Amino acid sequence: MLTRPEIFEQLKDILIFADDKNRDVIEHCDESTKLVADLGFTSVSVLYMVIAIEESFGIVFGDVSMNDFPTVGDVVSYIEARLQ
Amino acid sequence: MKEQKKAKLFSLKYWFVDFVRVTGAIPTYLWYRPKIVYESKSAKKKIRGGALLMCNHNCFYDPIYLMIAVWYRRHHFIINKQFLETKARWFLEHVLCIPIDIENTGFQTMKTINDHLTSGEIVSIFPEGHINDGSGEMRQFKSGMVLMAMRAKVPIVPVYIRAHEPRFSRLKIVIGEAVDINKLFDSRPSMSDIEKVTEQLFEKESQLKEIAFQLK
Repeated sequence: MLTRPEIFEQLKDILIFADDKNRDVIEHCDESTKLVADLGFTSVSVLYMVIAIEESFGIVFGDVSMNDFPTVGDVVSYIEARLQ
Repeated sequence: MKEQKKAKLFSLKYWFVDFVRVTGAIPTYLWYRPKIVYESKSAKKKIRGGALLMCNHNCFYDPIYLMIAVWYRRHHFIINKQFLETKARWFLEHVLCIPIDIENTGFQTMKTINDHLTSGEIVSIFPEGHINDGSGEMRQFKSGMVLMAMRAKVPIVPVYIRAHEPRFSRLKIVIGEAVDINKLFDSRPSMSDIEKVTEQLFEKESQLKEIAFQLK
């Protein structure tokens, strides 16, 4: 079972893939970092992130949308809940 | 890639859309007298199994033109959710439109698209996102279609429709060779890689445009 910090680190790798032009900002982000406002994620990069999370963590996202994940921490919490 | 089966031309499950296709076919063909050309010999092969059709977007009739171009298959069209908030809702749902919220993409919608593609159906998309300004210049393509095709492991078939002007002219459509996105990457591509592929697809569509404008 992955711990929350481990999920966060794995998620950071995915975020770098989803927005590799913004690598420096993502490497120094924390759970309060906003996906859209701080990292400049678009609907397509969020979709990329979701697909990568599903493949990496072996989970399936339910009926949720982009606005349900304002911060990186919200994504971590969702993955954590799905893994339990 | 999955083994590509021949799709059924008619099905009770899709009775309404098949009714529309059959009854609409004759008047539509007589009115538009479509001139469909292919980029190459291999582009002429009928599309079997799941595929994502991408097309430029000149006007509201483009879905009809696209149905004329690939007449032998049913299309699921990805449309802006706003259209389903109109009186046309029932009709749009029954002609297999998939509503998408551009501002707040729901992941369930993506799953629906993925399910259609993986079950061997055709999903048609206008990657410009909106109807272009009519100057003939295409808007920049959105990368979402590349993600959809990659996830479902289906090819993208480019189609270019020349604006139907003057009104009584023949409709000119160019169909390009299918692009197998999944063959382009050995490992997980980054978002920059996907954006590059999107640009390549835009270039491909521009080549089809040139062919379309050479037609008389």
